[in-house]
Amino acid sequence: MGKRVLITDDTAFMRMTLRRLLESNGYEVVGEAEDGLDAINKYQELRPDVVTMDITMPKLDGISAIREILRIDPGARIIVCSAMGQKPMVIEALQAGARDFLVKPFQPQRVLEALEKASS
Amino acid sequence: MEGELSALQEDALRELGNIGAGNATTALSQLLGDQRIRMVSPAVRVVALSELTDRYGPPESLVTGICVGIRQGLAGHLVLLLDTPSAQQLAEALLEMTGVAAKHGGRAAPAGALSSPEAAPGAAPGLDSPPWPAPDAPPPERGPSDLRLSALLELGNIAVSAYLNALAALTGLVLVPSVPWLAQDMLAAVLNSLLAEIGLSDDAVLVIETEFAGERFAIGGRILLIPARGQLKRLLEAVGLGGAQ
Repeated sequence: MGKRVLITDDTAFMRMTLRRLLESNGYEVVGEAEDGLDAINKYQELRPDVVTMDITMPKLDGISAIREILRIDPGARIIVCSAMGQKPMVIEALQAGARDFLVKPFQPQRVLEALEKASS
Repeated sequence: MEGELSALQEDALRELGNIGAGNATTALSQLLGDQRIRMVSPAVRVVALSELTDRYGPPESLVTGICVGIRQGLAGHLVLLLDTPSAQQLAEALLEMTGVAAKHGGRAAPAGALSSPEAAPGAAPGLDSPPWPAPDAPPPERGPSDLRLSALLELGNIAVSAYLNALAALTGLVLVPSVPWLAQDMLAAVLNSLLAEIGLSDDAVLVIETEFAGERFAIGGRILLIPARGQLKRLLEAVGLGGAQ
């Protein structure tokens, strides 16, 4: 069985894109969250091996969600997938506990490498 | 105007706006010495032309618009729209960072003093006089205030190019921009000129818009992607969501 992944992004299009990429490469997408709050709830419910996390989202942004998920489970593995590649945001996300930071538009290979690294 | 969009198609367009503007604000942030810039979730709107100016502020408010046409790969326009205080702050910051400001008298001019190189000093052109310089016009002589305009033009060019590069990478389309233009005028004049340049004859236009704001740096603005008529299908097909339009 492949590693279990929770995808977090406010656009269904990006969730679909990531799902296709991950499922065709042996990962099991156990859930999709459409904002930071949804990600926290689904993380508690599904306990995935890895979470992909967007930053700019309604209700609760990705960095706040990372902090909360890691408060619930300090061992959580979270990778940021965001279009916001600004240095202060990358630093903040990594300081919050993200394992990696991928800037959209990303290369599929780079996503798979980051997931492999985070979930191993 | 374009046909109805499915929820997934509209969603995909919002994500294109998000990624494009995310890369554009990342470029702006780097230009400003890694100042943090927040983005509001993007929106896809079909806006009646008559409502377009009201949407972005009072028609008489002074704004700076930096625009590129997409000349190859996909027809359309990308616009960076800044309010005047933001444009002044950005120009000043950029000139200070490059050490040019000190040579030309320090701080930027007060509100309203920035003008298009073609405009008469102190007088914004009316709605009938296009604020966009002709793309093939010879470059004007450069004075200190022209340097600020030039800095803004470069900043806008970098931001919209970052947007375009991200859009190209995401869609697999080779997108070639035109020479960028800068216009400083009343909002209504800038938008009317842009619409004339786009050559829209429909009563509504589809706009993918993203708003951004500096956190410690008081800047704010919008980036608009306006695909030309009939181009939406091409854009959606490029991300695997063609048909059903």
